[in-house]
Amino acid sequence: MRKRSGMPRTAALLILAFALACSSVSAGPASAASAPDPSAASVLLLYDSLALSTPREGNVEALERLFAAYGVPVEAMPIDRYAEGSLKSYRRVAVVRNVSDLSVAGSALASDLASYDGAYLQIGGLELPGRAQTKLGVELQAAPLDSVRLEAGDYSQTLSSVEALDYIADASAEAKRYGTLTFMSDGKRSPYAVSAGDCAYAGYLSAGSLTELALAYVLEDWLHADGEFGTYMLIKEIYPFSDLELLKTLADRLYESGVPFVASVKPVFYNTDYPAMQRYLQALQYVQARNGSIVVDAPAVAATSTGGDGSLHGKMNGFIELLAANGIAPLGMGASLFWTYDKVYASQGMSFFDSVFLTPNANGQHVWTPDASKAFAFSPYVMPFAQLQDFERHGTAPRTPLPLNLALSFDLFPDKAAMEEAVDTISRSWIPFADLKSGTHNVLTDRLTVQSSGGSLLIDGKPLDIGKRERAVDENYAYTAAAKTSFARLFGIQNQILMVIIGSSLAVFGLFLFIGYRRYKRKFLYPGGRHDSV
Amino acid sequence: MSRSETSGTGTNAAIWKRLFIAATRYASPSFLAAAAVLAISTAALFVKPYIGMADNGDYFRILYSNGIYFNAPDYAEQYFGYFVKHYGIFQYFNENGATLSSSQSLFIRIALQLNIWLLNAHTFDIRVQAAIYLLLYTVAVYMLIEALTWRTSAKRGYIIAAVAVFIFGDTAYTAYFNSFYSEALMLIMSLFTLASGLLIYRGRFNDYAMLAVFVASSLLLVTSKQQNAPLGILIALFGIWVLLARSGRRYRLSAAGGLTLLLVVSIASYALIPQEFVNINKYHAMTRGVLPDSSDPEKSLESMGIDGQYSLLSGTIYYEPYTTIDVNSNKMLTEFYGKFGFGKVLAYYVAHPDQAGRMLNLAAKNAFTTRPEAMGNFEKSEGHAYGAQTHFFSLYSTLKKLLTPKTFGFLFLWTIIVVGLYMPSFVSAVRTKNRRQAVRLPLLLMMILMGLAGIAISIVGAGDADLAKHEFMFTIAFDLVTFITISDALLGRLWRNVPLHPGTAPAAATAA
Repeated sequence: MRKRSGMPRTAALLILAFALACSSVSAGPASAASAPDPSAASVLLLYDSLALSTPREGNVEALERLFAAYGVPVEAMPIDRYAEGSLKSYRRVAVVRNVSDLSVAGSALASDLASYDGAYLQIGGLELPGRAQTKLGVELQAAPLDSVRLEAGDYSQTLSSVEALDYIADASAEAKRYGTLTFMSDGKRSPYAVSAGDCAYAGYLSAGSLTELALAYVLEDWLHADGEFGTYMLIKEIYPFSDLELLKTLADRLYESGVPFVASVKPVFYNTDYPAMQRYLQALQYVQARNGSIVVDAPAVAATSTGGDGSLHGKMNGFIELLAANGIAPLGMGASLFWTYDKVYASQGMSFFDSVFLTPNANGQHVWTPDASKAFAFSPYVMPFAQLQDFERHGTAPRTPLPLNLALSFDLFPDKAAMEEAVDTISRSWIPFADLKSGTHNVLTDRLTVQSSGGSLLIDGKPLDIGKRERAVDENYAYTAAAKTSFARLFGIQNQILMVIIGSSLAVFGLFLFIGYRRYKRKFLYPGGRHDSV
Repeated sequence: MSRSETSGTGTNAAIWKRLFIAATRYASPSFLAAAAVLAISTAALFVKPYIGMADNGDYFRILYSNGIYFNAPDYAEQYFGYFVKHYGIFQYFNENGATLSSSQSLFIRIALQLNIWLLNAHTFDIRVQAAIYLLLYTVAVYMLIEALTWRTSAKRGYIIAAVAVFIFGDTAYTAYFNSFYSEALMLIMSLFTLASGLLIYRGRFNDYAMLAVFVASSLLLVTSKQQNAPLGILIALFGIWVLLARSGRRYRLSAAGGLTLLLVVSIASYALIPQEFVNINKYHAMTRGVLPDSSDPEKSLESMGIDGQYSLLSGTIYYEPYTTIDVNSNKMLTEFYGKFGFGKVLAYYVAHPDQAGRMLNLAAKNAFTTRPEAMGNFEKSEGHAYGAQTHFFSLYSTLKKLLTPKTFGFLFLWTIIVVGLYMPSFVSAVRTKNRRQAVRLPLLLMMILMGLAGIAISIVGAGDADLAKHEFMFTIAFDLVTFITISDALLGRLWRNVPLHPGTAPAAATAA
């Protein structure tokens, strides 16, 4: 269990409230306007290996999510599937080198890169295309196995036993440097990444580490993303089967702590008139009234159902409209990254939203496709809050501005104790969380529009009263329709009469059988009477 | 009528009589029935247009672990709609572990080896498997008809043979041979089990050989599908009458050993059902069984210790493409599947007889459907509509589906009538201590209970999900028992036992 802060809670709340008030200007909520144009040409992401079962596993996916956070569509493919000449169709190319002994020298990609004049980003590797090498003026070296301390923004983290790290030994004076790597064995320091013009290089990326945030600073410049970015609190794994009272208590506690939050709620497609659904909707109304914003989580999908059955659009549309009809304004969606690559999921399930929280894929959920991912105007980079706690914060106020919209996530807590501990940790983190509904978000269904702007929620242009009283749950709900009956009383009497007749007949029949059997025995078996009985 | 005409008619009759006598000498009713079933099924399965069953998505479980894979590029489009006869054979190490253990694998492996030796090492033709099944089926039909018509009037024997062809030659049954469904094996082994039991009852063929067939076919039947595992207990229980049919230490020890083995295998195959299947069935038992018809699903759930909020899953199936919750998630494992077993579901139905009655009636609606409507019979290349089914030699299954009263009350009455008809001969055999003659009713009762157990297992185990296919055991049992009842009625043996040896009187005349 984490140690509780010694500061009195009321004092902490006052300071937090003050910090939030200040942050309304400095860390104001970002909206669609702050990211690059989502219709911009996609980035071609090439990688030599997915580095499965190594510490770098998941770094390609992390990079895809980083690009998604900037609203940039991605076309990802392994280097060995690269088709000669296709590079010229892209304005931006990113290459991930995870394996040192896989050289691309002499390959079609190497020759195409030699003449490529678009934006270029490379992560890892010691070979750079000529143009990037000239611009960056870097000298790259491979470091032996060592622990490295990374500093980026206000945070630092020690990455233990990093293998095959390619670091920047030197770079041209004009190149911009990002973050610092300090080797623990000899104290040697080098920049984490460098960029010059439209070329950039970073030595290392691993999922779940500070390198994600460090690389985001590089991408902010490389993609020319400007604007203010915010940090959001995202609560995931909210089911109608969750402890809804705990959810309400959480909403109360965060409200009292002045922390606006986003609740990613699971959709329900069947039995939406049941009392259980009414309770779920009531809880979501309550959450919304406690300064929570609602986003619709993606439904669970069967791994084999990529083709779908054509019902996804109708189901999602129905659920959004159901929420709206109950005074709940969903502002976006939560989904795993692979949804953006799957044509059916992206077109039928995500087309309602311009704001999506993308989470990492679960094991085996990767979608292989030559097509570009779907990008969204607003798509914060989702990072578990526990991951942020692994970082050491060394800066003091004012905070270094974040390079991207960041959503710190929690799964809904299993019990009240875990919730209280988490809320306490959130309060003590002093992170100025942004309110999602302060930004502009649009949800468009077949029949209605849900919007947020400047802290207001609008359904079909009409302001939503989030303090509206909850509708009572009908505990006497009739689950099964009573069958229509005619002359019920008459048939009831008839049944009873028939039962009496049948019962009497059986009794008489039994009696006759008994008498008949005795007569039969007397006549045929023992014609002269039973002598043995005497 | 002139004399010459009369004389001509008489000559014709004499010729027909001679022909009939000659036919009876060379082709017994059992031989003729088996030959006719073989010929009809050959025409259906091996002559264009080939008849088979479309994949409903279950094939992969049994195919991949046996070294066969889907090689048709458009295979996914043919699910439910079209029968596919060619499959690929793995040419490299097969890393697919068995997702289920079924005796069906044995037959697939034999067919695969024959296919590799005789036809092709790269492509598996499902008709090789169909040929194996059909040969076994022909033998089973022969044994069944032989058990009924041995030493009976030739005329009546041929009528019984014709009825047998009408029922067991139906393509609703034989189409399963061109499929990877375990129903094909269930059909064949049910016939073998009953036929071998009846042959012991008739004293036809060697008792040890028939006992071996009885035990082996029961084992293959019980292990053909997880759902059949409890049936082994029923067979072992009623098999005691087969054990008692003959005195002699060696026979009884052999029978006792066989029945014990059957019991152990039955329990083991139930215990070894993979957890994934258990969860699928549990899901359906609740969402397609208990919840949809409950007047208060929340209360029903809470009575089993599950959060009432899960009532939202009512009516859904495990394979929904888009769901509120991942059906395999830890939350479901701990809060849903982990809270109840099939015993609790059974106890629930016992405590709610009205709901159980409605479920049984629902089950009865599907109990007379031999061929599930969802699956097509033709190859895509034949140009038939998606999901089209054959009408070739399927009059019996069609009539059965159309004409039988589809209520559980009918099933109950049918059971009472059959048991009532055979009870006098059974009581008589027991009274006269003629144990061989007492085997018939327990065998028929065993089949009836196996069929009814199939229905009960379907409802308790998986609600109304895929009922038509889950009730196949009842379909077989109904047809076999009804057929034997009709045959015995034709032969006038319903409440009389048959003589053990030619020329002797019936063991005992009962009640009449």
